[in-house]
Amino acid sequence: MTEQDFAKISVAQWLENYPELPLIVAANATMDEIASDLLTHDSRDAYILDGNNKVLGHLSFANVTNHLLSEHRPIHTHRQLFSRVTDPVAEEIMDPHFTYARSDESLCEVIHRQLERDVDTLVVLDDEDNLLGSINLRELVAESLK
Amino acid sequence: MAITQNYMNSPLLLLGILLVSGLLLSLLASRLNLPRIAAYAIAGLIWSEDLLGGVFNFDMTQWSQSLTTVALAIIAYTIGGSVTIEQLRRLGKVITFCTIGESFGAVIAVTVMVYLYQPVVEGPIWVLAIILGVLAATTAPAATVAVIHQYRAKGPLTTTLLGVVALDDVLGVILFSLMLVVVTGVDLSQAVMNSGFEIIGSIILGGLMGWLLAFFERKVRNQTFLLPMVLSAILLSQGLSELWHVSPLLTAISLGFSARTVHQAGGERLFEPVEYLEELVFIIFFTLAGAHFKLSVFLQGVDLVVIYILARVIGKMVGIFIAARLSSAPDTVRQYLGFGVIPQAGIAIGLALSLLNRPELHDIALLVLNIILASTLIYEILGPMATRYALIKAGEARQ
Repeated sequence: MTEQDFAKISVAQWLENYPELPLIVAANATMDEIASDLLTHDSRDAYILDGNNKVLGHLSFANVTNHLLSEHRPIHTHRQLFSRVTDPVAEEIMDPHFTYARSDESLCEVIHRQLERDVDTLVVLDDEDNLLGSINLRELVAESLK
Repeated sequence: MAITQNYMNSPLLLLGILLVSGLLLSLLASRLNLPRIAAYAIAGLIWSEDLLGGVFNFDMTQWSQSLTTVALAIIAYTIGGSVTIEQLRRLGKVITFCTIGESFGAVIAVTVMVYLYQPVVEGPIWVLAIILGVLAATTAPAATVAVIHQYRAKGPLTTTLLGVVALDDVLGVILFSLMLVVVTGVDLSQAVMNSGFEIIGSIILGGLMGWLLAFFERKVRNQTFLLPMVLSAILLSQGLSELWHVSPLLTAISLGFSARTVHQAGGERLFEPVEYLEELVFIIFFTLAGAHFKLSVFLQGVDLVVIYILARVIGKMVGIFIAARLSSAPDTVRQYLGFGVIPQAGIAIGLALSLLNRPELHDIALLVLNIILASTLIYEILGPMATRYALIKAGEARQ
């Protein structure tokens, strides 16, 4: 599949062929629980939702392991020290400035965003910011090799 | 000769020389397993007035003041934003009590012992005693974390120690800024009035700037803008605090705390880029402190170095012992935590350097800086040894 082919496909069309939801974790999940979920689902990204299906924030595997394995870091800032001592939960370390896609965008625009922000699982939101699904980078790569 | 003199008084050249000397000596120190902080200080010392600085006629008085102010503001901002209200709540009774105990224990012990000793100094002795006392509150988390990491330590003492060394710096910087406000007042009634204005003014200014920083940060997607945004907010708040005669240090702490609190989740983004500057700030602090070393001033205060070191250790030990009993801390914490809070380094040096910017403290600022520099170098040797002893005795060292 070439770049032109990706440009012709919209995010909505992609979701019809590859319906997928991102990994969702609870706002009060501990680092152990999130890491375990990420490993079980073989994912590098997890998201937190509110009660109205709106995405609150993104958690990357790197961010979670950074907190989980902080005792192996020989240098800590004051911020990292407080975080280490107080055992943070998901909503405290999530990134509320997560990147996302809209259903009417083309795949071309989305791939660029995904690569730039190093996100494997990109959430797709409707106009009211409700979660519609997600785009997995692995499937995009697999499709591009066909 | 005139050309050489002009070059040697170029602030950029002098700063470059200090930084390069510090970095080169720290590389050498790391090869010899010596503390890098001592290397930075020695690099500065080489360029002090008594050594090469005198030969080349270095003049650092003018430009180093602005640099120290900005560097200290960066540290105060990161410290202010290092903890959230929720984290403070979760720290627990033991960490909170022990921090208050060891910080105030050191402040009281050093203040009282220096005052009772009645050293011969220019200016009022009580001011010198209070300044040294307040400077005694801070510790050196980097040295403590390095020992904990080296010994793979884990347990109640380790956790409490990590919490205490982080929190006492927050408390130490706040106490220092409050103390400065009070001791630089003209008379008691005016000092009380000015203190109230300075403290409230700083909190309002820092709080408002922090709110604005968090607000605009939410609008920015491009991460490369974060560092310039934060530095701009720090510089602007420092400028405004000078203009409105409120405490620059307290303003920077309030700025960091407000930005983190308003931003809530993801507020770490406002601090990560600036934290990369911490090492640079500490090189500046130590090389500048070393460059301000003066043998005659040091010899005048060598007895005060001994008093400061002993009183601070005793104050921290006694403070922790009392606080640990009051908070029903585990036995290992009560018995050994005091040994872990002995190191002292960068923040104390930065705070002491900032005194040089205060004309009203001119008589004692250089003496305080020389005392803190000398004691820091001694703590750099004693501190990690004491921490290691505590972790081993508590049975929390794994290696």
